[in-house]
Amino acid sequence: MTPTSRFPLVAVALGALLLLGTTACGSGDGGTASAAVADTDAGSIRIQDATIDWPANPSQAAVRMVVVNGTRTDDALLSVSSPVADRATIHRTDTDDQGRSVMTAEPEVPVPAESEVTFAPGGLHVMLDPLTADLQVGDEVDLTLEFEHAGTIRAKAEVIEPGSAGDDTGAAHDH
Amino acid sequence: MTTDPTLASAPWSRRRFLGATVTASGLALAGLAGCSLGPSSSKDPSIDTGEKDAWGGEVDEQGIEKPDVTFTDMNGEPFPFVEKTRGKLALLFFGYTNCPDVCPVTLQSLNRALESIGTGPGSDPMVLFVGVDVARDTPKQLQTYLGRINPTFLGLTGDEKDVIGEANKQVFNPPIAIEEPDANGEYAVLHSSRVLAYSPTDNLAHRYYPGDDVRPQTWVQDLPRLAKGEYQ
Repeated sequence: MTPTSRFPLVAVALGALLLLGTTACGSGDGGTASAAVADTDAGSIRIQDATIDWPANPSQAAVRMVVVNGTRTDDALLSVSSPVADRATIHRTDTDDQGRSVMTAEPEVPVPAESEVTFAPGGLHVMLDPLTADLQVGDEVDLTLEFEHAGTIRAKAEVIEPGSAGDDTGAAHDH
Repeated sequence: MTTDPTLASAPWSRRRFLGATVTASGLALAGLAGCSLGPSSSKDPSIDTGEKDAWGGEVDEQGIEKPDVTFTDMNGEPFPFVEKTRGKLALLFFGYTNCPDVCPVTLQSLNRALESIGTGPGSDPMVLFVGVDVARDTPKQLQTYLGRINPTFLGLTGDEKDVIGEANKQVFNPPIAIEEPDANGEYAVLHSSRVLAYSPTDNLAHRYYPGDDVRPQTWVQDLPRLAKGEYQ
């Protein structure tokens, strides 16, 4: 599904960076400049492939996405909010030394310059809990993400058939 | 889209390998996976049926016994596990309904596999989900939760110590841990993410799967064989 488009998009982004030439190079040291950049531009923070599995528990859902930092500035995702939930918490699922699943809250997620961080099953997710809306497949959910340098980035996550993102993002893990 | 079977199988083998070695290094591996920076591979979203001879999960030659306890089912009725599952392919998984990641991913993967298998051997395993967070995993909550995934999946609950704790002790090494609630009333629940596959022939689990590390394709390949009592 959607993550297959990531590589071409990254390629496009790199191409755009080259086209921008001096502008892109000039912004290398300025973390604050990126706050005003639209999220489709190269040299910005972009949220790709944001999805929410239609939740089994009607009061709780998990957002998966790819955070692409096209800038030359190390950044960090500090918080997420959404009108469909009272709270949105960044979590990481790990396996402890006894083989148990453990979920821990992440106070911030570093997104290094010119790289991407994938929120995928078994790794990172944004937990929406408790939900204040009855999500249906096809719904578009507004997300507001706060970054240390880029500031506020808005994105939309699509509610999808459950399980359909697991295949895709899981495979992305391995590369 | 045509997929080269050798390319398609590469991440699979590695995936299982990672699952097999998750112990002390699990945290480090999971951390790396979360921060994967490389480009994604091209993928076919349809379920690939290649690698027919490979098995998912791990084998246990000796076999894991069934938990000798009586759970409570989603209708509030007693569910003596050994008796109710005798002679059937039974998949046992411990989790909790407020678990946003591993539990639904595991159950959805199974559901998608069953849709793909359709009919015949392996198409109707007993899928048994034990809700370990007894304060919230009531029979009614289990009914809602599993009903939204697959209404044929069975939810089980019971006394925290005598039933769920005891069952966990019999089939998994690490204890279940339910941590203290935070200011928002949220709390962590640590549980084994393994799915045990009990054989219909000798009623032992000779194969187990590392929860959310199992994709539908693995179940599609393994369930029909498990239904015949095979495990390797």
